[in-house]
Amino acid sequence: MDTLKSILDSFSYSHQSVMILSLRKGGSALAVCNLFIDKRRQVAKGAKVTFMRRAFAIVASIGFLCSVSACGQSTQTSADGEHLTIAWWGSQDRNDKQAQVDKLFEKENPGVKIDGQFSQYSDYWQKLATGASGDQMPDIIAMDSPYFSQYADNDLLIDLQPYVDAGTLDLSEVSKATVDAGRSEEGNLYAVSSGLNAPALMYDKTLLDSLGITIPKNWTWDDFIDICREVYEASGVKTNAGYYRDVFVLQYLLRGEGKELFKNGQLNVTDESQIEPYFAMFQKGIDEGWHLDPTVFTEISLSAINQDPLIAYSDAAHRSWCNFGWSNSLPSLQSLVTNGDKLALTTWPSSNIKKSNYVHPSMYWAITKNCKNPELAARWIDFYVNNAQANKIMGTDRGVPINNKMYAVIKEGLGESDLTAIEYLRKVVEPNSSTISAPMPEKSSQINSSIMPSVQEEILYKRLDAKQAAEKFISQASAALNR
Amino acid sequence: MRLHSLMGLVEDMDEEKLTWKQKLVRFFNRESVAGVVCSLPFIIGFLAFMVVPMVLSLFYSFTDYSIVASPQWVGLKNYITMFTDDPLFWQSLWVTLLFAVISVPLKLGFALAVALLLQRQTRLTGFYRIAYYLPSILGGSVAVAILWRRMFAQDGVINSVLGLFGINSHFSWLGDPRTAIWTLITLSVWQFGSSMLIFLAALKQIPTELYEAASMDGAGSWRRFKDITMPLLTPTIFFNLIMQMISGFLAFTQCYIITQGKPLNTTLFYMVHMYNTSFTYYQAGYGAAMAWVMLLIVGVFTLLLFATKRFWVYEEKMK
Repeated sequence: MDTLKSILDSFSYSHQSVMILSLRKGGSALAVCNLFIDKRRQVAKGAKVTFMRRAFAIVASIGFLCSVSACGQSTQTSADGEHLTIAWWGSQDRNDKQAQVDKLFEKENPGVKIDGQFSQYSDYWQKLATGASGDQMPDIIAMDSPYFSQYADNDLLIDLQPYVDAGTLDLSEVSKATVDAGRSEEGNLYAVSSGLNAPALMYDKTLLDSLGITIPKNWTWDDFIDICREVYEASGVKTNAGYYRDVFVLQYLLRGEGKELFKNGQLNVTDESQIEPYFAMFQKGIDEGWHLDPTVFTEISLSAINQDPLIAYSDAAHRSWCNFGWSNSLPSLQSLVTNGDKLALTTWPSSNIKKSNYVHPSMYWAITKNCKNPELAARWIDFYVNNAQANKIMGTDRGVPINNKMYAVIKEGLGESDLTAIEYLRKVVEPNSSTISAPMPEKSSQINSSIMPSVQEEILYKRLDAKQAAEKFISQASAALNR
Repeated sequence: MRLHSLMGLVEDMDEEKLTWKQKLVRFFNRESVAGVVCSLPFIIGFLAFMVVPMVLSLFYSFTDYSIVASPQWVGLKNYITMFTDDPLFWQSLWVTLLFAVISVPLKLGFALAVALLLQRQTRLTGFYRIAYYLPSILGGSVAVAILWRRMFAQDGVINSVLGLFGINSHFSWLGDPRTAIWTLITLSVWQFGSSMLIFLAALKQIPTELYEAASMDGAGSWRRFKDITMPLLTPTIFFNLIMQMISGFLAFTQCYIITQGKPLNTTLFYMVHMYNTSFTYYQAGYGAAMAWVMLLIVGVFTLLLFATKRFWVYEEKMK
């Protein structure tokens, strides 16, 4: 007790030095305080002020010390025995469903506590990267193909094969192609897909029906451009041809010609004429007026699905009749429609749909090397993949369940748009598609999030024509991959 | 060795006869120990949150560091790439310079004008001071940034107000490369509150005798402002200028939330480019190098301002 008192006393003894320190930090705050304290009163109540300062200095120092020591404790984010942290990206709808699944797992495994952490797509990867550098990744993370090699090749994920062999993680009902999509080049199983989806063009069916426009079955880019023009001329509604987006559409287009966009970590395109048609489509769109004005996109958050031009606007100038996306986003887009229109989906256009299209095992689950109880984590993934109730809750949120038996289980009780999305994957894509391209190279994230969007932007602002855009894309993308 | 003790209890005893408790008390009462203990919160914080990260970031700036993999030493490569092969580096530097050079003087001008208005004591002065200070508290927040985006949208408040005056505008303030940066500058100027408060404090420090004497000599209000208020305010203006210039160079939120650099990178702040490079493109080594270049730039500007100090900042001569 005496010791404590003497410490406290010595605090107040040299409170002035502490005050100088806090003064530096709170210079402007103090200036504010002074403004509201009348000078004469300050002199009269000098004694009181000194006391207050002393008290403040003590409280401030103790508070600071506590906060510093608290820092040390809060680093234990990763799992101890019965605690799992799971991180993913997604909309509110997905987060609610995921929370229900986690609760269910906790109920079936008494004593286990699950901590779910979610963010928007781009924030998610930033958070995960800082977690990786600080050795503090969550136990289970959602993984996506553009980032897969980055994490797998740097030994940040653990091999799931032992858990599959031991029967903890049962993948017997999952097709070999789907399982293999989660393997690295050396063949280690690092990730398990949480659902199957496919490239899909979501469009406003009610609008197109009312205009008497139908989308032909195997449509090409020329058909697409014709329809955009027709829609615009008949209704004023414009087109969002995948503006400010990643390279997936370009990759799809090249696949139709039998080419790959990336090969062995390098850009596989050297001649700009190969990719010029893609950029020419944007140029035509802005010249003929059917593409959305780029200014529209400066007023919305691109990663927020509820602000997508397909559903968020009622006036023709801001509205798009279509959205280049993935089949699993149909239900959430449909749920956000406000004018009662019905959405439908079809393939992205291509000169050869069968070559272009692919089933996309997506949104993988992976277990990080920071996980202290990988066995429990593997059990959670197994639960997500094989538990009927969990599958029912998630529905088609992350795509069609990878467990072939679950399709029948979840079918009843699904909404119309969920069923449409499943039908699309099963009946349209699966019989008429090719093997998925290899994961994008490690340094492709800059191409996806910056180079491609800004090249598209420069076309729509008429700073570049299609040929210049193609040249710029090739030179910048290859520079980024070799940096 | 007799040491001063606040407790006064253990002062006269021999060193050997003291119990460990008393030794401890004596130890903590040494002036040097007390000083160190009291400064400990700062020292720990400074080491953990300033020195260590800065040294690390200097190291990273010479490496290829993708955050998820361990850093690889590459020497000066990052710096060379930056100056020779990164058009966005120059673009973002230019945007940031433009932003700082335009918004800081405007902001200080507003702050000073409002401070002069609010100097007079009326019943509502307190209310006005708070009202004008609020934007600087709210200004950095995400909510205001989003509000700003809505205000300058094509169907936003700004265009509606213009509509009231018969200007039927569907102009996209955020979408046009010529105007987008100005929306951010306006937002920054609107947050003049903290400079205003510092100006107010400085205005109150000016002795009223000076004004009285000047009035007696027949000086009008403009003359009093020009020859008394302004010279005596110059040290405060100098302080505000330096602080605001630094925060102008380091501006981040406005761009990150409102524009993300769009359109055509005309609003891409240096800090946002650095952040994207580090955390979106996973090139943290390059980002660290960018941070050090910015440190140098801010340092040079601050030095330049200090060099001009003796030409315009009034300092009372000590007698």
